[in-house]
Amino acid sequence: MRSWLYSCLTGFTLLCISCIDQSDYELDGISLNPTLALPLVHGELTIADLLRDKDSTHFRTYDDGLLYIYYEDQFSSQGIRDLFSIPNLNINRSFVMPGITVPAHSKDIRSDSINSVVDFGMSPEKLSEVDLNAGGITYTTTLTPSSSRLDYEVAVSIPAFKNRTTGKSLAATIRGNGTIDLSEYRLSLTDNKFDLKLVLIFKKTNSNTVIAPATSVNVAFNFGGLKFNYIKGFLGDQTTSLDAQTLDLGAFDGDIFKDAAISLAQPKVSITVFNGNGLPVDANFVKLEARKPGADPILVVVNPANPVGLAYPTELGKVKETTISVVNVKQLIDYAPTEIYYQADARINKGLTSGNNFVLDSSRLKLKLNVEVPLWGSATGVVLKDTLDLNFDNTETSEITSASLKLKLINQFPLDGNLQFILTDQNFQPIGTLLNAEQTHVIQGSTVDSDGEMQSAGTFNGSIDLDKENLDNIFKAKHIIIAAALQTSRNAAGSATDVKFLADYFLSIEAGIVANLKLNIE
Amino acid sequence: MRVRAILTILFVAGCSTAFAQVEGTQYFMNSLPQYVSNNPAFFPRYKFALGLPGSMVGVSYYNNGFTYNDATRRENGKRIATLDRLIGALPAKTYITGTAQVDLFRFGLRITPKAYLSINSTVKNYNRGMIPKDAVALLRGNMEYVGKTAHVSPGGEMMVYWENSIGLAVSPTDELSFGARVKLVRGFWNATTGSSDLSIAVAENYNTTFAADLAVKTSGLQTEDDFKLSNFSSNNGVAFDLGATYTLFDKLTLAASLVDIGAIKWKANTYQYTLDKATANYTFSGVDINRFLDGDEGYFEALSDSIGENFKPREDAGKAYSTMLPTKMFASAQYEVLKNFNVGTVFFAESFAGRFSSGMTLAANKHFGRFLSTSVSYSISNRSFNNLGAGLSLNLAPIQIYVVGDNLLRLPISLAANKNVNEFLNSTQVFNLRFGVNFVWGWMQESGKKAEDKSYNAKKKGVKTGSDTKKHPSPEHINVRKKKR
Repeated sequence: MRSWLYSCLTGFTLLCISCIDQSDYELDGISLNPTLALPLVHGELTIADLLRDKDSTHFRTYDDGLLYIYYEDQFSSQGIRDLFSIPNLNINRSFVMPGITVPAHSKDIRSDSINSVVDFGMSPEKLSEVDLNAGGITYTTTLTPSSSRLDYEVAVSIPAFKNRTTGKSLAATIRGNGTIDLSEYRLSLTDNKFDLKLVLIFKKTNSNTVIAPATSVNVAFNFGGLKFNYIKGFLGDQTTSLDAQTLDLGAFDGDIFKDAAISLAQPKVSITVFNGNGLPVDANFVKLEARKPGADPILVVVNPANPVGLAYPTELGKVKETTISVVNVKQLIDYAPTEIYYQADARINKGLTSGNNFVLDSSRLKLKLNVEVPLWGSATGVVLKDTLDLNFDNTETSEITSASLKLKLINQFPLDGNLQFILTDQNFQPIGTLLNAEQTHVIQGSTVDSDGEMQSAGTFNGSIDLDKENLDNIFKAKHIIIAAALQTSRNAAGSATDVKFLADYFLSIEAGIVANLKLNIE
Repeated sequence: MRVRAILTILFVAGCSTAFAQVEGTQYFMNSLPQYVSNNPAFFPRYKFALGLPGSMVGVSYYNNGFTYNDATRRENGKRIATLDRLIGALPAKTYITGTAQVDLFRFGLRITPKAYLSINSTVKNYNRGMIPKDAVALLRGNMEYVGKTAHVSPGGEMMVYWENSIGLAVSPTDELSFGARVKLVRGFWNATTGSSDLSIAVAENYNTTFAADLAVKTSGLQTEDDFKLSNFSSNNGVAFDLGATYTLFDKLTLAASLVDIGAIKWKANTYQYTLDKATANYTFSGVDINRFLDGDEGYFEALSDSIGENFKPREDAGKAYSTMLPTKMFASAQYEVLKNFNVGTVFFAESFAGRFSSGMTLAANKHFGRFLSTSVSYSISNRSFNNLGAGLSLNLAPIQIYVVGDNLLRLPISLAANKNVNEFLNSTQVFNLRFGVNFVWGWMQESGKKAEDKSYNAKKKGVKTGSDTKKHPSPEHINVRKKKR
């Protein structure tokens, strides 16, 4: 009976299931019109945050909190050092002997000697001392005729060449080929000259030696590869060119200051020259100018006037510095240059014929350009731009029916201006903006006191309704350019005033969006 | 007048809080031995009943929130999910409940004219999920929660247990009967939401804070062992049913009962899953502009990992815990209009896991001789007002076959009207069905203790009792005679 019952119930159940129109339970889509309120971004931005990484390293803070931009560039030149080198020197000397017979002798016999003055032949330098760190004397002795059976040596002596370690003068006995290392020697010269003494030595023998007439012992020296630690003496009146250099001023780069009018309160630009060459140098700035794209360069006027006599050391290893100030700093910085270009010559011993100069192998002439721009002043027409990619290819434009931005900006910076989001196509051609003209003034600058410091932060707190047409453009756009046109805060009278940017100023941002969506999911 | 007043009170009470798991049609079917289930003081029509496994199989579905029609609509021949409409239909908390019950054994015996003994063994399954309206409403966007907090804490209860009971109904007087049943319960599986506080707060600046405090306990779910009763020997509980009836006057009987007053202590294989608000919280304030400008490529991934870690539930081996059984309360009135035809109403309430819910049923019950008992009903339940129920028992003693449900009638109506049952399914929030086969003997001419009293009184006065109504006076006749005396 129970099985009958359950059969009936099962049959009834199957009947019911068979009476279900299954298509009723196959959803064709979902219709939903949600309104979403979402936070977009938040945070506090300081000046350092607003700058790209490479620029932020140039920002520094004075003790009073005032920010300044600091640039320095250091150019190191060995142009002066490179004027000097010790030339290679070849010397040939011969001992010519008459025809004689030398009897057997049990000890060496010092025979003939040759004394000569050797000149390195440098000009206009007149060296008095050369401290070597490389090089040597390569020698060759030959006997003519070679069939001669004379057993000999040559004693070489150069009293002006002294070993730095032992203090002993150079003395060597040579025969055949060989090299004498001079890297440890210090040469004492007289106007590039030194004395060389050669002595011919007959070696001991137990038999008579017959020397044919016109027999000679020939000695050939080559002083080569001589490198110095320093040279002393009078190094002549000479001029050398320093390579052209460019100092990039990144903070003024790009379009930010393209149409800007800037007036900075206390900018400082200076050039410091560090001279390690022990001789009088005149630096002559052939070109020293500020440049920026789309504008003629302006000259950087220096004090002392060009050419500038540089201080120089009187002791080996010391460095003397000379500071050259820039006279037209304000004109220069207000110009908002993107780079400083300079090219200089250096002239040594100008008009001199004698003197005690020295140059080290490591001597440099360093030019250091310092640019220090306190963020204190006024500006208009400053434009900040950034471009982000957009891609809503897979999104139906009908999905957002309306939207509004909720924006809260607390701005401690004395910068006031308009913000706009420019939508562009793939070629960066504008196809629309996100905000209408009357909606763009969202950056409210802080008010400042007479010292240019913040009195109260500027605040924008409101909602911005976005037009449907503008929204639709978002879905067509490939890029969005976020652009802010800024000017420094005005005074109470509405005119420009110098404002300060302190390190602890920030821009607090809270942005959210309310969007009405129409979702038809199939 | 008194009857009308009582019925009005019950109806109003039922309408105002009609959310409960009513199985009201069966409540009045005194031809069934299962009649005693909802009130241990009830006396079934049969003196003796025996149920073997499958003597009762019951399933139910209750949804106090929505129907399929609320969630979808036909539009240009397409079936579209319309969440706006769905959200509009939802109460603050939508409870979706599914239950199942299978009787393993049933024994019923009228041991004296005034006492009925029942023994029952049954396996019950109760599942309930709760979805707060806010959780669904968030699909419509969070704008309406700006400056507010959306509470999206879901809840869930699940238990499967085996219940063995013995009950006794006694009738000390003609007007009064009372009964009690004691139940020994063994739990098999359980999952219960101890606490749940998930919130989404949207600030005026749209910053959105997610926070979660959650404690879910389970027993018996984390095991791969085969089913053995011994695995669950430590999950024990006790429960009681209490009930009473009172015959206010000759044709009106009032009844009240409390069913499943008890709890199970879960000890076997318990686990606890928790989220602590101290760590499980996160405020989304938009993109950190500094990190964005820094070009921090790992920013979003790190953010996602961090949130995932914060909201990862902690799993611990749990301690023993107790859960109450879904306790039910019934209050009913039954009026005998004619012999073997009565109407009744039952107000029903359930209290379980923090939810108190109620409902009511109006029913008309008719015995066609002793061979066929029927019932039709109208129930208000789970904010649903379209529940036409029916019950049918074929009393082919010793075999009795029955089927009963609170929303059965609309099914054939839908089928007849539309040639499919979709209209029924799409508009259904309540559906329950019980069916089975009992072995029964000893049909009583009249219901309950009254029948017994009267039959015994009749015997004493020489009036024959039996099933043949033609040979014996109807209750109305007996009442007339009483009045004459």
